[in-house]
Amino acid sequence: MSYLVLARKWRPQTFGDLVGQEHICRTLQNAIESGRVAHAFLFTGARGVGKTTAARILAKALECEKGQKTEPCNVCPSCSSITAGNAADVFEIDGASNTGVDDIRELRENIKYLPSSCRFKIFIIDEVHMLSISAFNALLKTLEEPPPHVKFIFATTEPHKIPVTILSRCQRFDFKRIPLQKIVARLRYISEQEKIVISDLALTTIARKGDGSMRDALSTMDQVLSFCGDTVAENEVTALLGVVDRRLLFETALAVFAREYPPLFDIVKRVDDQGYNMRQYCQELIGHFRNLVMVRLTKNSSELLDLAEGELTELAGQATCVQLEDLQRHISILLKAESEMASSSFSRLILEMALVKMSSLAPAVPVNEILARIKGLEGLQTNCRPPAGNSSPGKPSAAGSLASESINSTITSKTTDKAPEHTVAEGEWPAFVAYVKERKARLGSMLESGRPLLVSAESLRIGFPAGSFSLISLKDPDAMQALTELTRQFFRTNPTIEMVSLSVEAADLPPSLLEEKSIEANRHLAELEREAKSHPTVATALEIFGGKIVEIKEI
Amino acid sequence: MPFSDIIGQETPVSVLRRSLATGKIAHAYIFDGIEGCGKMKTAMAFITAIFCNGTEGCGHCSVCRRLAACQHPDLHMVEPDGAFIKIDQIRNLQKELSYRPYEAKKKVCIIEAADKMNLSSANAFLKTLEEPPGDALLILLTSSLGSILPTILSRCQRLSFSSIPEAAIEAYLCGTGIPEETARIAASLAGGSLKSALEITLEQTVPNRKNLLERTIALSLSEIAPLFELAEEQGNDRDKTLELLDILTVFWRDVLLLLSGSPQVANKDLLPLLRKEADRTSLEKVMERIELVFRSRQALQRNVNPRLALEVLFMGLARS
Repeated sequence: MSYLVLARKWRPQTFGDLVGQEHICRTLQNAIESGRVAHAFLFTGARGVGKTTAARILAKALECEKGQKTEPCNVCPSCSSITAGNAADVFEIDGASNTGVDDIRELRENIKYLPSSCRFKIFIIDEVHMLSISAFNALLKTLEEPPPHVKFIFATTEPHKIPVTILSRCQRFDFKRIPLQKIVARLRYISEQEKIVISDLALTTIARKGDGSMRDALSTMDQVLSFCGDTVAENEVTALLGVVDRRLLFETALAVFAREYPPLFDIVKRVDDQGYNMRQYCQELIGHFRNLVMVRLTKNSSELLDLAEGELTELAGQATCVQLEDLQRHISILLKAESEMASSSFSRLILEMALVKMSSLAPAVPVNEILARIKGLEGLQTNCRPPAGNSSPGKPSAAGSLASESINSTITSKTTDKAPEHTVAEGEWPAFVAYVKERKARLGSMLESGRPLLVSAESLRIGFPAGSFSLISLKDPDAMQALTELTRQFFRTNPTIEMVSLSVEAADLPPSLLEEKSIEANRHLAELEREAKSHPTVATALEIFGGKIVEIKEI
Repeated sequence: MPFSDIIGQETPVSVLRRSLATGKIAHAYIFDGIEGCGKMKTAMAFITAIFCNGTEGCGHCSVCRRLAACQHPDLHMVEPDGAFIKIDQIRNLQKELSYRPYEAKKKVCIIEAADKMNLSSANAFLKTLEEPPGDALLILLTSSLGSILPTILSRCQRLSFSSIPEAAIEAYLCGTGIPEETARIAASLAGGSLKSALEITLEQTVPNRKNLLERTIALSLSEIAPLFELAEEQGNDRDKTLELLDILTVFWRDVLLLLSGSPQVANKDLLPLLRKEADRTSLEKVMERIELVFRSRQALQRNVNPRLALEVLFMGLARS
């Protein structure tokens, strides 16, 4: 007999052995006893909690030759064949491999015939969520009113993928996550049966790795037994399972609170050297910070946290030197990093950056303090009325209006200076650019970013920032040719065209059309602001609510 | 392929050795660890041991030689067909497993990049994984454990593979005749993966990267032509682009380390360049740049045109 992993060898064969789902076992057993057995069941829940097992036990209990009892006898031919998986009338179908509507049609053909040896024909469809929509629909009528000798048992981890029409035709049983202590108890039983020497603490570590799933816990147990043999030492368990040493977590938190960068990188290096998985380490860190929050918030945290006394005192000590708001921000940074790590190959770097961000967080000021400060400031403001216009509420708009004013003044000054040179009037440049844009949009948009240095009948000088894309593209011979043609058409003369490369510091040159547009926009915005601020309704609102203008937008 | 050929990975190897000795071999394993750390080698060593004589592959019998050449009829390999492992591949596998083994005691299947199973194939695999027909052995390899369905993970015995220590990689490279200086840099750039280290030495990454880095750092928005040239040059091949992103990530991480006062940089021979860069930037800016590189990498994984991705990245880097 070849080796069977613990999860297969110790699969429960009776309702009594099924751990953690007592509510379901009782319901099923009562149903069998009272004769009120539905024709369609749906077992849902997380992985490894007993769905397939319960389906098989239910099948056995219904088919048992000793009558429909609350527990299958497990000795009669019917029970034995179902346990071995070769019963003629119990069909265990894999919903993920036989997903098509044709498979379901075949099933429906099969249903008509009475069972060959047992009481019922039982169809156990596992991973039923993978059936195609057509398959589900083909099943509907049969599921609603099957022949009396047929029972359906569906099992799935994802009930939300099942159409509601199917759900309403089944009796639904939700399997819960198995509590830690129950998993430990079952592991204890199995280790006794298998003659394995193992401490309760090690069993608890293994059970915790199972995270509510019995099969996960048993797979972990197998792994431990492969590594350690029949006698299990605790330190080997922690080493094998990569359960991060709690000391590392404490030291990380300490370094973060002390805002020191070098120790953080050191610790991450140690974590890597010891072969821990970065993502797992991040998850454990999140758990550690969560524990700190719990210790801050609750008085008797020992009930909520599964930790030893000494560790709790240390946690409490660490929790006192940090604010609750800071802890929350640390946790959000870690959570974001953890989800990024799932799909990246640079998990170590992501973790290092997250830790650096956490260390450089400015300490959060409690909300009450901020409110108190605001109140204080308000008191000051009512006392000394500032002169109107100076305390402009929006900083960006103030800066914008100042800038636009200064540029406006330079424009007016420049136009007076350069007036004699622009013999072809200034207004020609925008008209020219519009003309070009109509015919060759790309050239036109590039011209928009150029500064018209000289616009006359004989020559056209346009300035562009050095090395810019527009300059390089316009120097292209095809572009030049097209531009020359258009210039000739517009000006009706043959001006020479020159593209000039400007250095960045060309402040006293005519603005390009793009710049003019943005100046115009700023001017418009400043205009709107002046209007809004001087409007009586707005002034009244400000007074009543004691507010500040934050943003002005045109609707 | 004996177990002793495998570098590092003491824990998984001793678990497998122990299970060979006691005969308690599970029916499904999942090996997880970064790419190029030895998962396939270990899986092959394990299978050779099982098929050959039960403890260690001898290496010269017909069985061992055929396994090494992947020609054994009872060894099946499943790898992604394009981007995914499709459901037909799984159905074929189920069909193969339902037959008795031709020669060996059991049928074995290695599933490479098991995280690339799409949803239908992963679910189709569940029943087989839980109770494989006959006495089959299934070994799943993955470098991205987070992408594996928990229902699959729950059915396997998990063996974690750690990254290989730098010293071990350096020693291995020197052993294959690579000069010591190159070996040292390649080992420190490899990030724990022997495969990466070998690729780095093969593709002359060590001498080339200084040039690439200097060119990337010098990019600015006022001189736009070099930016587009560099993007075109590096963007004509997706692998080349990914390699450049890796070089940039390692480089900026080194700058981050220097700014935080931690001296263990990976690009040990580029210390002056690193120092110069560190002097003219701040911690936040460096982290911003690293984020930009990550985003480009994510975009590439979603099949964005590599040249465009690089152009956007370079403009972002030049701007900050």
